[in-house]
Amino acid sequence: MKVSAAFALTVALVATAPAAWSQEAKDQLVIARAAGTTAMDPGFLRESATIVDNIFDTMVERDSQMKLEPGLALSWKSINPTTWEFKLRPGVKFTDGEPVNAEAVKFSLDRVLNPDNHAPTISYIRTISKVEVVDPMTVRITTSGPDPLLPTRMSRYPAYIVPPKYLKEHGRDYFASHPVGSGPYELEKFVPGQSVELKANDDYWRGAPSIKTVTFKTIPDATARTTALLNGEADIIEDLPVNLVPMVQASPNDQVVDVKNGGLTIYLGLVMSQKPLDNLKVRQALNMAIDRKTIVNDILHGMATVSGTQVGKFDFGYTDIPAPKYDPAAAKKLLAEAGYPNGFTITLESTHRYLNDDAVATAIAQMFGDIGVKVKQKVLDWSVYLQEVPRKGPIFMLGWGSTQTLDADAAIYPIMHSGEPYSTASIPELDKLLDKSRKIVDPSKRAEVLKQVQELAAKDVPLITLYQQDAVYGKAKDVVFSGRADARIPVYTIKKQ
Amino acid sequence: MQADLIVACILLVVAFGTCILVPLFWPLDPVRGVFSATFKPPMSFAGGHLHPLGTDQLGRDLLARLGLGTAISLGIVFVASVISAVLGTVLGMIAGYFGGWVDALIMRLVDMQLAIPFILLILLIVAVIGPSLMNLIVVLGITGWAIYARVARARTLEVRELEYIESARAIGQRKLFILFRHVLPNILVPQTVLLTLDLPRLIILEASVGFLGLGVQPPTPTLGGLIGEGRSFMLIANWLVLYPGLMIAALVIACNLLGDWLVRRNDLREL
Repeated sequence: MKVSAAFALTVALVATAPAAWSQEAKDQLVIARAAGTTAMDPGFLRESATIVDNIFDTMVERDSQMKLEPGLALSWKSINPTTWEFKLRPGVKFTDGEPVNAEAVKFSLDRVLNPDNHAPTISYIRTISKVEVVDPMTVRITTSGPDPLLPTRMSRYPAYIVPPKYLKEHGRDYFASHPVGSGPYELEKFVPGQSVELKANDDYWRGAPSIKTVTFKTIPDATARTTALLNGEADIIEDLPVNLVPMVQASPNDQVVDVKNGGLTIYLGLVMSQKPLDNLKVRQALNMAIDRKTIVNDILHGMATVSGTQVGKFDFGYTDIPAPKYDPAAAKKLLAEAGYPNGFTITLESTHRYLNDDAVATAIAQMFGDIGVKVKQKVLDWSVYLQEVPRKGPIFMLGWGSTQTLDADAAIYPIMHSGEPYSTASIPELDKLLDKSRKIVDPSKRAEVLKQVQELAAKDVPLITLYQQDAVYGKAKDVVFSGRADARIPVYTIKKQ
Repeated sequence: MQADLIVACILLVVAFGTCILVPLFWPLDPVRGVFSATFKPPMSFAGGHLHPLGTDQLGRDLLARLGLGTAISLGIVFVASVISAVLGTVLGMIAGYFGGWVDALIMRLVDMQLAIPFILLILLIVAVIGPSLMNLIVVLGITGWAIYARVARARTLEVRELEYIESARAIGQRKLFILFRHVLPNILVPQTVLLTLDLPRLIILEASVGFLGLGVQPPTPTLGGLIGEGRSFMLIANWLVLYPGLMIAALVIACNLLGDWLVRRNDLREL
């Protein structure tokens, strides 16, 4: 009996040991990113909000379908065209014990709005003229003009809510490396530029997260990042390059997460002040000479979506405009009508930043060649490229998006309205429509004007829209993560099986 | 023992065979992409054609690109080294023959040229004036003269003390005439050997500039450009980097072996 008891004990130990070990691994997560983090004050970010998003909350949040949903605010309503009222969620505390109340909201927004603080992303909430505390759980925000996007603005940085007492005690510099918020995770260890380790906030108002510790590691080189995933060093990697996708697919333990419409929309900028791009028929001909389907299928291996508009599918104001038909014969005819029966020679600038961009540029040069337009290619390093684009061109390749505002305005106004720093277009009628869209409060009327903008752009070709890139992640098979159109990684929603 | 000469000759025959015969007779286009045939491995068929070295990210035949790329790279390197050699030899002869402040000035220029890292200087110049075939040739040409000048000067110092130069001077021949009619032929052999020994350096240099994307612009292939483009696909299509790399290695080894053989044959151990 004694022997068998000892035997049973041994069996039990052996059987439970691996289970305990895998249990431990199941609540740990490592995410490898291309860019490093140097500061984590969410009001003064100069980088993406991926990490602070897990430490802090906003009043308004977005669900996985990008619809606005209650966050720290339970509800909000517009009292009059320039005033919004937010009712806060009762009983929420920062991880240092301070309550999340109207005072904290006012404090969080005021410190970003204070011009003395030089917040880098103040423009995202610049429309706010006043933040008032009505009662401990009610905040009233007044805007300088009608601002239909205010609840959206409250869903992203710099509108994260921070603890006033903690910040006043320790100051902003300390806060940037020792952040305290009300989110699902709190900071455990921070090595600037290299790694950030977070541990679960078990008192989180939505309930304790299932991942207990998460480490964000910086691995700038894409090949090294992918290797980290393949050998199990990382559970999720950001920015998986399309060339390495087959490697991840071939791995028995890993998977590719391909978020359709999650990336930038790539376009060819046309410097319209230079001949022959001032000619509408020339622009239309170039637009028709590109075989977008072939580019997306054969060069980008399907990791992008052909598009006829710069506005992303999840952006407010998106209009489904089909991409121009690939028709080299019609393009040739248009060129002849424009007075260039034998084509012309033009420079196409591109860089190394987007999915297989140099191969795409070479393919486009070849397609332009097919309608008689001789292309001189110039492939420049990003640092040099930024100094030449958008003025030199006359054709240049660039990616643009609505960057988390998920609104058409940010996706088109800066690159289509004449005189904007990144715009090389100049179409008075388009300018008029764009200006009009910025003055309308009513969402449905605004969407109508934005639709007109996109239709006019498709007709007058201020630039040549190519395709919208996917956001591509790599992940271990046991991690439940599907990626989001706004590029966030809410670890709270991630589970390990 | 002529083993090194034989190896050098075999490698050179392969390299020159590729860069002359392929662009002339290989039917596939080195520049035009066939988008339905991307990343075909070596010895595969696509679109009714055999691709002995496979295809690249745009479905272009790698053999066709390697042939043209080698031809263009070698063209750049030859023209550039001839420019370097002529410039360096003339300046070196002048410095050695005239001496005095001319000598001092030219040799300080040589020191300056040798003190600046080549690759940095070339990257700087190309970044300022813009990348193109002509710019690259000129830049590689005018930055490589210093070593030729040094050797030419040393030989000229030796030659100018010889009796036949003295007698030429005695019968009143003009200095430039003496320099090019009597001095030059006597330093030509070491300069030629030096050129052979300097070629590998230029081949690597051209490849480095191409690799960094500052050389000849796509879609025109060069050896360095092929490796630079292929680098991002290395894990899924290693042939894109392997064959251009082997070609560079073959050329460099061949030039070095040939140069060593020439040194021994002409008894030029000081080179």
